[in-house]
Amino acid sequence: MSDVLVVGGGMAGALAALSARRAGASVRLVRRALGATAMSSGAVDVAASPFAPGGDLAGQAGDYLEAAAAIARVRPRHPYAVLKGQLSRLPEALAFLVAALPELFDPPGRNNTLLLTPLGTVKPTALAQRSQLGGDLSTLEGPVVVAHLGVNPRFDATLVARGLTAAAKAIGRELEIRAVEARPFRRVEDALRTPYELAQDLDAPGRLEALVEELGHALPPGTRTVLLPPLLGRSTPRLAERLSQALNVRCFEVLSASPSVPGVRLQEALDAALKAAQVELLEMELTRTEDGTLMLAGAPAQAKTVVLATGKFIGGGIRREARFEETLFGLPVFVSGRDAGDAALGELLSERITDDQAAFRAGVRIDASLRPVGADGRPLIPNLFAAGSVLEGYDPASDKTGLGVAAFTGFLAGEAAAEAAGSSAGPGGGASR
Amino acid sequence: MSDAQFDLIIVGGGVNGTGIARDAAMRGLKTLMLEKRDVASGASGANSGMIHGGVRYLRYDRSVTALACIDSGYIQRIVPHLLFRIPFIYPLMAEDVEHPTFRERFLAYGTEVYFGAYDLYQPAKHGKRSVKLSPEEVLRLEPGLAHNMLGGMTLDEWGIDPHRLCALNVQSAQAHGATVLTYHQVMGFDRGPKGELKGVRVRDSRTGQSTTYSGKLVVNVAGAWAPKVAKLADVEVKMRPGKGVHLTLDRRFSNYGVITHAVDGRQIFIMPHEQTSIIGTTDDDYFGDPDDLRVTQDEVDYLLDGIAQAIPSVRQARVVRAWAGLRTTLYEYGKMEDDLSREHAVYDHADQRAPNFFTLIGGKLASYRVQSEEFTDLACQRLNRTAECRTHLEPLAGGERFPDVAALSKHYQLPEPTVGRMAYRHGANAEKICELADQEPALRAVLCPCEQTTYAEAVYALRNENVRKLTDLRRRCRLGMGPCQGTRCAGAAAALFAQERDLSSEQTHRELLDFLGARFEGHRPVMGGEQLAQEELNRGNYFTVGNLDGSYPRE
Repeated sequence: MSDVLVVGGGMAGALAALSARRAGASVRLVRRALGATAMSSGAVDVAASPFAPGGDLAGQAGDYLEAAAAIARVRPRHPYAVLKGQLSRLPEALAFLVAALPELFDPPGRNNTLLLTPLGTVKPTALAQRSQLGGDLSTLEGPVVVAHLGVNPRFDATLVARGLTAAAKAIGRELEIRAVEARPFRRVEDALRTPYELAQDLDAPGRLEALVEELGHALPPGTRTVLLPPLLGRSTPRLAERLSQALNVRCFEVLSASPSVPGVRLQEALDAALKAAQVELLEMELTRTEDGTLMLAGAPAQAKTVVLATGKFIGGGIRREARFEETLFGLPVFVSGRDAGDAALGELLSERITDDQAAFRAGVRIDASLRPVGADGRPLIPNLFAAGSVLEGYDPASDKTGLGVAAFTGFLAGEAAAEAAGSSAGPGGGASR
Repeated sequence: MSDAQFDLIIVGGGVNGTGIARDAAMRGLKTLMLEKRDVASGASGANSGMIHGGVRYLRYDRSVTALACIDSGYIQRIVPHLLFRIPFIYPLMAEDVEHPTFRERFLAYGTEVYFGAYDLYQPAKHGKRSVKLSPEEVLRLEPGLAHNMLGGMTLDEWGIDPHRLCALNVQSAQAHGATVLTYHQVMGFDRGPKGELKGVRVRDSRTGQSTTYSGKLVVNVAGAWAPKVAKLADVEVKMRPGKGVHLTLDRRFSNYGVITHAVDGRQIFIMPHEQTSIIGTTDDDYFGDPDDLRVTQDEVDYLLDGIAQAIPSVRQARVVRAWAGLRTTLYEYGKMEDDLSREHAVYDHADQRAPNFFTLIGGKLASYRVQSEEFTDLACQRLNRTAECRTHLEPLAGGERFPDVAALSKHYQLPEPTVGRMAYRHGANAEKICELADQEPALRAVLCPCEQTTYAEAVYALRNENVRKLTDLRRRCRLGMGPCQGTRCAGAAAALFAQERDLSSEQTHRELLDFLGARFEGHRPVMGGEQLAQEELNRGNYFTVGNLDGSYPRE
């Protein structure tokens, strides 16, 4: 029997497991498969100002903690609002994440960075992988080269370069930017390979050197920064840094849409941290019997406390057939401040794709101790906590607080679950509470 | 004012408009076709995609069935690659199989006789005769069907990609000298002293610029918009538009088309179409604005409930979108929607003091060619021209022969299924696309994995098939029409579009948002189940990562 059982292994579940471990609990983490974290850009958004209108890049680039506090004021159902009493611990949660994944992250600054996307847009994010971070529009050093890598057409260097030029102008920077083509992937089959395979290819012995040579020929003299497609190594650590050293030019990846190599890299780094922290990691289906017993591979999954971090629609934590339901415990699902059970979906979806879509904020309601509650605000199941995108009140896929909320709520839920399991606080765990 | 005078100006780029454009141009008329959006963006692109004879119309419109069957045969001759066979099963259901009611037995017998009558028309469209099947035989063919049946009848029909049919007609019209302007809306008509139409005032909806084109004859083939267009000439066109809703499933859900009954007894169907299945259709009077056509939850439920009676597992299917079109049925008072004639009609508006102005409405996709021929005959007569119609003899682009898919695949080292889809859409011109991919290896990659559309095919469409906006690409090569509905391909397609058209980043992003927005309109009425996860991923890619919603001031 473990003290804490975490269900779900994305950002929220992993941080819950790690923080419960730090608090001294024994932890078992069960997940069905990879979820939304592995499909993410690989960077951690915390918050962008809710008052910065579309196109106001300078406004979006502001202090993310202030932005989170502003969100807590104006969006009462947002997890930052529900947990506003503990919002001052958000930096601690992020520092905990950074410390757990030292290969990927450096401690973040106070402001959002503005990073280039493969669509040629710019987006604000608080915490990016080291390989992504140098793409920050505010500090990028020109001349900049956006490099297309051979036959893989999914990355369009011209569009990224044009978008970067326009965005730089919007924040008052004049940068010399051009697109070039290098051809590390030149075989006919390369056009048909997935990003994962291409990134894996760059991990192979000798491939980095070949890429260095290709880029060396392609880069115009005086280039200070090179932006590359998000393929810089499936599992080789610090490939971007090694590339930068070899070329003596700063090399970075743009962010990635799904399928996302940096997303998988983030997930794998979380998994490595879980193993290092001696969390028991199981990939299998967890079910619940009618009398409420959680079952794993035919036997009761015994634990003192449980953290629900099963995600939303991609993760499978929330589902809708005839009505919205939470899939493991059958918890009530709320949206727009009310029980979503009887709401027609049409009421929860706006006509224009860019308008507010309430359906994507459907989720489980929690109290300030991260315990799932009913409409009356009373906890529903003893010793159950919830974290991540299974929660009500935020749209992880579009409100730009996605992985930040997951990390923050996971961090807090793990701690709360460990405490409820009655385990003794580990070194440093109790002091910070 | 453009000084050239056209013999014929066509208003509307649906199947009738593009059909007339081709016919008129082939007969040497100086032809202009105007369409306010893209070709086939009204009912011509929102139908069941069948060149069928209309077994349903046999009850009251024998002439429509006959005409459709004969013309279906001609269409097969001119675009053989674009057609695919859809065998249907009509299961004869009974509440209690051991003791069928008189009504159920009567229906079974009646269906056999009825389908037998339809068989008489099948040779014209190269269809197979109907077959009576035992319950065991039906279930062997279609194991998902409910078991309470007395047997089934088969029915042979043909499917087609109606968007491509229109696009190919346009290409042919252009090759014969016609001028085709999409995204050009007619704003008014220039009239002579007797009220006769002399020209058309047109607004380019992308630039906002207005131009006037003069012409000897004007034909209004604007489908559901025909009354609006006619009104610009103070002419009244009466129509009784019928709203038809379809649903698209994420995969081929059944082996055969299945015809069954909705809760109110109306016939509805589910059928494999391309890589998906389609459920259709409703038929309800529509009194609203044709520009404001939406699918309601009731219509979705009506279709799913009906199909679930025959195939219960359809409840677990993932519906990826719902879409609607307006049948341009002729006006009649008092009849039920289903009983309205599918006949077409040509009106000469000289009787409403608008000489030189005509409207063609009604008719069926399967008969578009003969309808176009009929009108073009009339136009030639008015213009004192003598030229024979050849639209049933000369193939559309790529229709001259079907390429050897295996040989192409081997020669160009492209996967056979990819080349197969290419050949289906382009016939002999698949070779040109393979050639493009050979010259530029990056174009070998698959742009839309759901539909196996290569970059090369998209580039071919961008260069040769009158693509003005990114959304048009969907109607040329089914981009974004598969299970992921554009999640995978939309961004890459926008980049490709930008490259070919040398767009700024902002223009590119606006095109992309238009594309995603148009897809979302179809998702909204059917959102639920796995589709929510797909939409979450879509939003993640384009909003969380792409920040498309945060990149520009809101309109």
